[in-house]
Amino acid sequence: MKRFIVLLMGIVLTLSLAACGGSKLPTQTTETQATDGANQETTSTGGGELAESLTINISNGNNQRTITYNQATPLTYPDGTVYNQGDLKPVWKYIQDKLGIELKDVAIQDQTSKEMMDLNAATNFEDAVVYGGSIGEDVMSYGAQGYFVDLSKRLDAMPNVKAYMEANPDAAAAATAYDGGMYHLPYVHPIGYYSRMFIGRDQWVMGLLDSADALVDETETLQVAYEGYWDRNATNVVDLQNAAASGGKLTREVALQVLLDYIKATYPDLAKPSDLYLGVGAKYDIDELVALWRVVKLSPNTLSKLTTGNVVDGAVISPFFVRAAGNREDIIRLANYFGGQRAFGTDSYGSKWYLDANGELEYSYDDEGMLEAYDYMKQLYSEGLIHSEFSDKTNKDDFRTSMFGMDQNEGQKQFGFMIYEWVASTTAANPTVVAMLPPVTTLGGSSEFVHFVENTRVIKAEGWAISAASTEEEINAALKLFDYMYTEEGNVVQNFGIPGNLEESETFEGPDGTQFPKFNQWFMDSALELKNNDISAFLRDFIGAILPIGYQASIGYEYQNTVNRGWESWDIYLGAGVITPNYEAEDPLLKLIPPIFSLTEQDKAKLATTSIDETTVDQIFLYITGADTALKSKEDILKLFTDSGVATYEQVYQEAYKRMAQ
Amino acid sequence: MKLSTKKQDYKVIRYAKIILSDWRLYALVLPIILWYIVYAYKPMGGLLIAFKNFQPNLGVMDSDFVGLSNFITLMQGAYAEQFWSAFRNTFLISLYGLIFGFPIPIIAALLFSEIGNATFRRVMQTITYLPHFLSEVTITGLVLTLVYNGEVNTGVIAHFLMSIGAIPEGTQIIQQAAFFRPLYQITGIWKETGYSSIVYFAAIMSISPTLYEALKVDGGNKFQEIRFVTFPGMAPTLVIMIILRIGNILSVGYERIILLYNGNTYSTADVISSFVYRIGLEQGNQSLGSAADMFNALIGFALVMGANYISRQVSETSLW
Repeated sequence: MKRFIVLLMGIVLTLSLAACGGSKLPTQTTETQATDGANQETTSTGGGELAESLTINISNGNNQRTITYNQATPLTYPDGTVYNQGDLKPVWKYIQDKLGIELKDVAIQDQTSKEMMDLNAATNFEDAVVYGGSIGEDVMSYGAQGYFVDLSKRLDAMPNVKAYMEANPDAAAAATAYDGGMYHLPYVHPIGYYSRMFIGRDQWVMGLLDSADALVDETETLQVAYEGYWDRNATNVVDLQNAAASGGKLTREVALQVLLDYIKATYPDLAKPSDLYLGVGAKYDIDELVALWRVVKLSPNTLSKLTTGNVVDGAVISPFFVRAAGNREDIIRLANYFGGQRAFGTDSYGSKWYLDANGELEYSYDDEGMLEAYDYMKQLYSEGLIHSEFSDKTNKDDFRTSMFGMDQNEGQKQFGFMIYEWVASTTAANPTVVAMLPPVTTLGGSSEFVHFVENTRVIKAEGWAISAASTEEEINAALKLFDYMYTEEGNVVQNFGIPGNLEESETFEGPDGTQFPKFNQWFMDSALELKNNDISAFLRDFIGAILPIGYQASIGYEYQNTVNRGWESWDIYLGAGVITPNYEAEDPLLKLIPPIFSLTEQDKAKLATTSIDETTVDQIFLYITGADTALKSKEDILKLFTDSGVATYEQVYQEAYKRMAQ
Repeated sequence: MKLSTKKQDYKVIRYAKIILSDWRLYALVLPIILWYIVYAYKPMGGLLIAFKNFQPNLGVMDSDFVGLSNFITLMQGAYAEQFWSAFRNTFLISLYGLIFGFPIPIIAALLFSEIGNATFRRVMQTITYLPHFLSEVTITGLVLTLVYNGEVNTGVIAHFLMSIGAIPEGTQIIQQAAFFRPLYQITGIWKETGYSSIVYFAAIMSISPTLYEALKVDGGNKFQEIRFVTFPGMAPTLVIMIILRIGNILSVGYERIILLYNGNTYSTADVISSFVYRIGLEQGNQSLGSAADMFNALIGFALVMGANYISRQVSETSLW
């Protein structure tokens, strides 16, 4: 009997091993597919047969950001049309009716783009015709292997896309893989507009610096650690504060008096001390900002009274904070103001690349300048000038809401001073906050001090693509859908929603005179009721617009979301001519890099031997926050990068960039 | 030839008869066999991924064979520090669980067995079982709230520890590597003590009351009852449970770890399974994740074989 059972188990084991691992798509199939793709691509789809339905998988790790309405509350449009959970969102129902093609959402709830691509690669991308989300890099790689339709050979079937790509060669280049194919259409921001700004409470600056009337006694002290960076003036305010600190401990009275004396001596022409920091004429550097942050940190009684009308017992002030722990790498952007050290080459935390003066792609996180900046950030954190919980990713709180948006809540004790964030939504969160110019800094080899923000609007890594496993009719239908987004009507629908939520005969005039479709009152009321006036979230989650798919985004919806002191903020940045990187810059240091790199299979195999990842970033934040397990020195950080294979990592991306640049 | 065929036929008939005569027992074991096929043997084919440069589009068989390259990257290459740290943590967390977590359900079972009032005992047992039925997400959510120590709000436990001077003001328990293992063990003990005590309680209940009566007649007290009757009576169960526990020493459940840990606590919290999750699923490097998991499984296999052998030699009680 024992032998029988052993035999049985042996057979089971053999069968299970034999049954395992067989790919549904052996190499032969891949080649056949590629060939099929090539055959298809020589055939013009203009006027070709269209499939009656399209399966679409747009995955962003958020079940509310698909084409299906996933809200428990039904949405009733002014004309009585009701959208219930499980229906297509208004925009996608409208497109379906307009194109006469049934749209079927096959996205799996809350699946991330990465998970979607990995899982669907295992089934030859047969589960949907259209794939969307943050897929650019994967699609370039799989596309070159024949898994996605080369759209560059189908441009005749998409006249509007063709016209757009001809007019926007940067977008075309960003979507082109190493083999010359274009396998996805990218999501393109309204390029040329400011995106994120330093936004703070000017009321606090004036209250602290311009008069002693608002000052309340303070008991807080601060142990100084930061020693200053610049020597552009006769004296350095941080040096002066440190020298005045008794036993290294700074009080509000001392910190404030030193700062006021310094401003008076250094900038005698200023009408009032706060002018150093506020408005279009601001000219402070990072040291002067730190000196102000210290005063702010040391003034919880004064500032809580200025904000709420009463001194809040136990109030905690965070001079600088990020929107949420997920945005912790915004702290790294402070490096820009220590001599112009670059951190990110495009609008993505993953893009830790920039071009040096010779046009060579450089990895920023292990630069000598960045290693120094980590030390400065560590010192600022130890002084309490950076929010203590900014890097705790287990904390899911929205700090922008808790520090800017709850001033008048009973029992509110947390108040933030300054954030680097999107202008419209941040100024909407608090009627008193307004943009402050970035600290002045030098850039590259220049000795001129300029206002510079690294983050700007770019061509994104998101977009959508068509599976080559689709039938010709399905591909034709998908091409029609793709092209529709580049028509005037399609662009309006994707940016602003459907006619039912727009004014019929009225437009919205932007500050430069541009006319945009205007949201109607029903839309504004609904956004307020259902999404607390977060227009962009309402558009995405309820209306189905501005999803990360291939289209040109408009600044118009953001303008209409601009309230309170948002316009004033735009004016300050425009008035001061704050410099941002762009695609056309002649100086390589100011040139935006592509949102994604087209990697070959060999590249990917090399990258698999490196470990530059989120865990490496964790180590840097441990260093900044001084955790007990943190690396102890800059040399340790450098060694971490070396051991993680940064040389290979850098080489792979440098070669990929060279291929793309060619 | 004919004779041999006849012999074989006879054997088959004989096995068939044995199976038929006990078919009810075989029917009972069938679901278990199916479970093993589907969840234990079928996935074994995936081990091949550890030796391949796995690409989802090519599948396991068609991805390039890379020999031991993934193991070298893991143990000597760019991931070496993370991997060995995870390996050490897995071993230590499990060892601490064995030292601190293993005896407590036994003590609980002993205490339950000494409660005279059956209704009170059942109520107590039910209360201690309850945390077992809460999901890890609920448990960790509760723990994170209790030990949270933010700029403004403080959890009850953090507040208590600060007020008695056990931790300095402002200590963020969940952010400090030194607190992770105690937090993990205490949470585990609270969650599983009651449920784990069932098997020991059953073992105690199966001890013949005549043995206790005999000891009483000999003048034995309560502690002597435990020492000379209860423990020897529980011994086979204890040995088997400890062998199983040793076999699982490198199989620390990843759910609670992933829900409780963060970048600050990787140095004490990251275990092989959370490492595999991060590398294999989050970063999509399935080959490396597979290699790490395979290494883990091989060590676990060796440990259970070793424990079983030692147990057989020392106590004559073993799994096989």
